[in-house]
Amino acid sequence: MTHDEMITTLSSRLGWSEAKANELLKAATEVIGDHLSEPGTLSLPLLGELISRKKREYISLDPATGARYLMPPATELNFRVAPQFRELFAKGGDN
Amino acid sequence: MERTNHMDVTHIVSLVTKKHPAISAEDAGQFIQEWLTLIRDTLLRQEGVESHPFGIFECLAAGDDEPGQPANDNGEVESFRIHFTPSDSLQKSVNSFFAHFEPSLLNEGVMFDELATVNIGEEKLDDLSENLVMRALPAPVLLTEVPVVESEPEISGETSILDAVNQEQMIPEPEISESVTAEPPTPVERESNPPPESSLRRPPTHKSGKRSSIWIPIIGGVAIVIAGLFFFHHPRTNK
Repeated sequence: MTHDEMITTLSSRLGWSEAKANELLKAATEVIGDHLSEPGTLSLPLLGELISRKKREYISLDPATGARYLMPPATELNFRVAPQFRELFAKGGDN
Repeated sequence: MERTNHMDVTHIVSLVTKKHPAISAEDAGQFIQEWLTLIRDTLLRQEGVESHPFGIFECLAAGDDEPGQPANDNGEVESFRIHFTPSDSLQKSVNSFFAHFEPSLLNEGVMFDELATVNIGEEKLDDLSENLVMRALPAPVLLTEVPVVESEPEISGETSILDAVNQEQMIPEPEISESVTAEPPTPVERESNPPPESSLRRPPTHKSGKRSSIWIPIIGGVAIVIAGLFFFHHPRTNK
């Protein structure tokens, strides 16, 4: 599903204009990004968790050339599936 | 700003309304509920969802060689991996504190004993086993074919190569030199040419690597002799 299809579907379900749905999506993404800039989690019900964690600096080695790079620390964002989603998926998506 | 380590949708709704007073809490709550429901339903249909400011949720077929693949995948279930790729803007926002750092080349002799060393390309291999989901296959069509498959002689790597050589012997063609000089497929080549579906569904068989390593040079020698006989014998017969 593309971004446009998603916005069209959401706006029709909610009875809103596509502009309003886009505005809400941007606002929600902004807030989520702001929150997850520090290590933490965001629960997405029946779907999973967005987890941000600090990845320490490390040395990246190019085995072909032997060159070594000092990689800076970074905040990584990962997604973990919720057990409820696994169960739903196993049942074929029947709610 | 007040921050907690763990957050749920209600916190997001309150933060959205704080940051954007024009948006009501009811609208924000409704939107986020519908948005998450849409993502979930799409993934349950084994499809992906793309969102420009947020990222891409994908439902990918899990590879057989992926770490964490359950051992009981004998054709009764199919496995998928749910993967989320944050958009560039979300990734930048999340990594804002470290955005100004860049990788730097280390000179010889500079050591950091306390830092881990990771080969390029192996940074995220350990994440492949996460987010596996499984679902039963809808119809056991392949199960009806199992007796037929079992009645066939066991097909192993060396027998398939022998068959190929035998076929070349039976049908000599002008371009036989290409097929004869071709080396047996390497393991990488075998992976790139996936076996037929029936063999994918077959229970794992005992493969003896020692036997195949013995047969490969023998088959290669036979093939070279056949090629030699064909080339040296064929021009004489034409004359």
